[in-house]
Amino acid sequence: MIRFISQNNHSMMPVEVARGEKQMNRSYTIVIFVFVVMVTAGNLSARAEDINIHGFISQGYLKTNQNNYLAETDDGSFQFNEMGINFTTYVSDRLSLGCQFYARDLGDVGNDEIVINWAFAEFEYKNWLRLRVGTLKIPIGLYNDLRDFDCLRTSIFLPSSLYNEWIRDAANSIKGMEFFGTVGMGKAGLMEYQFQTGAMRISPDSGTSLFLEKTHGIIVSDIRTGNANNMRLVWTTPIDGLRFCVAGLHPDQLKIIGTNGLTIVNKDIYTATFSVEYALRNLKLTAENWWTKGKTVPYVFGKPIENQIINNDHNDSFYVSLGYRFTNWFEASFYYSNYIEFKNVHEDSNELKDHCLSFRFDINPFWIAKLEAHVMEGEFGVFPDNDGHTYNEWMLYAAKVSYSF
Amino acid sequence: MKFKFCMMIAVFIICQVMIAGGIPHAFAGDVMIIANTSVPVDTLSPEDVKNIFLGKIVKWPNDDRINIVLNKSADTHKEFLRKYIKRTDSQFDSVWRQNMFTGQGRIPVRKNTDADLVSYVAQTNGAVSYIAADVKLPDGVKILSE
Repeated sequence: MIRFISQNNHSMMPVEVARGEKQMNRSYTIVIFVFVVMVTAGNLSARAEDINIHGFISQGYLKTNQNNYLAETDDGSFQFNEMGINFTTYVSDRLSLGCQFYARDLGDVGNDEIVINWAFAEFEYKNWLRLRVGTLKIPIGLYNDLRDFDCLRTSIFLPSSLYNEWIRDAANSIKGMEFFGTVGMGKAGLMEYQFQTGAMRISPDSGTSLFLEKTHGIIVSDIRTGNANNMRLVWTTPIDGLRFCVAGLHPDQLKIIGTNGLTIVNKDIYTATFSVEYALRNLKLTAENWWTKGKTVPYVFGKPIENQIINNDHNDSFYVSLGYRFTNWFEASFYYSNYIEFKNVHEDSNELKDHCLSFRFDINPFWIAKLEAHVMEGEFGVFPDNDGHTYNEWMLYAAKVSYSF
Repeated sequence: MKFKFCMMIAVFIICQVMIAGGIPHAFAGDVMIIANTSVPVDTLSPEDVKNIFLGKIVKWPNDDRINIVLNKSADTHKEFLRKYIKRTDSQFDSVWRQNMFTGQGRIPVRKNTDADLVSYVAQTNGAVSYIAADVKLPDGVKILSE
């Protein structure tokens, strides 16, 4: 478990100019590439029907009335975009291959660098037994494996209590294997299971590292992760539209190595999510709870700092959401999200309460526009505004346009 | 802060009241589930149909892959969703977009006309689809449920 402690004495850092130019050129290349594929996708599909090609691209805008959040939002920021393209094919009746390239920019995170979002070979033995090997999405809650795809939800941001934007790349995927499948239970409904094991991937250039740098002042030179064992069960009940989900994540220790001799080790980490979703025609209700515990040991030049070891450190966060589809082109949702981080029993908790109202407009089957307003209470993940002040009550506005095919 | 919160809820409710009249209604015709004659079942329960067309079941009992064919006729598709899937068009579309962007399962084939659809189902092993109940079926296609 990586613990985040908001501190108010660190301002947003500008991106280095040279690095920025290089990334700008790279992002133009990606955009051109994605659009060329979009234009030609129909022809490719016609010639090679067994290869499916799909993709998406989105551009957003963020603005806060106070504080900076995720990007330099005090002045408003367009550094908020995502794009991806995937290829899937069946090479035999039982074996399929797939890969998705993905890039995003969110403030200083991502910078449109292309990563492999997922890439796997899948062997379908039975409905109840399928095997995947490769780079796999991590199943946390109901939506972690879907969070990169803006067109699949009403809101722009998923609730931060479970789906924290800063550590999104850390929770994105693992390299390994998974067994999964569906088991019919007769009148009791259907059970979907997923058991996954592999090596976690957290880059020193990731949002996780940037956040640690900005909050803890630790310049991250490396993040060493061990293997992780993950599981998820989704029970689709006989009550139409009602499903429950429980998911667990148990990584080996995470070792965050700083350039200044400081190392933070998180170990004995256990994470679980509990979810319920009810979809009745145009209405969708969701509630999810995230619980995690672990032990944090900071070291300076290899020696533990005894008075700062935190045992049984835990978080307990949740959200509830309500969404409604009014017409075939208009949808709205509201969620209340509460992130609570207990540093330990003797210190104050670190919180972020988020009341979010979202509007989604389906312009046509390919284009989607979204508007969103967040009323926030708390300072978790928040940075001072351009005048160096931090406010406990603030607002975030977001707009986004997406194209997918 | 409480005032802003109440304002957001109020806007949400007002929008619902103003626009709720635009929800489409089901059409009067009926649909039947059809499949290629290679499919090793003779009937499907409504629950089976739902699980197949939502991509939760990917294989027939003989382990042949299920090939889903969607009918783009608006009325037939709406009635199929109402009767079997119990989801709106956008919810159904969202399920397949999820599968599409996470690489799960074979993406369904879509056919614009009844003639194209029954012809494709007749020629494709493991194919399953739905069609208006009054359409005449060719050889190679069987009815699994009406």
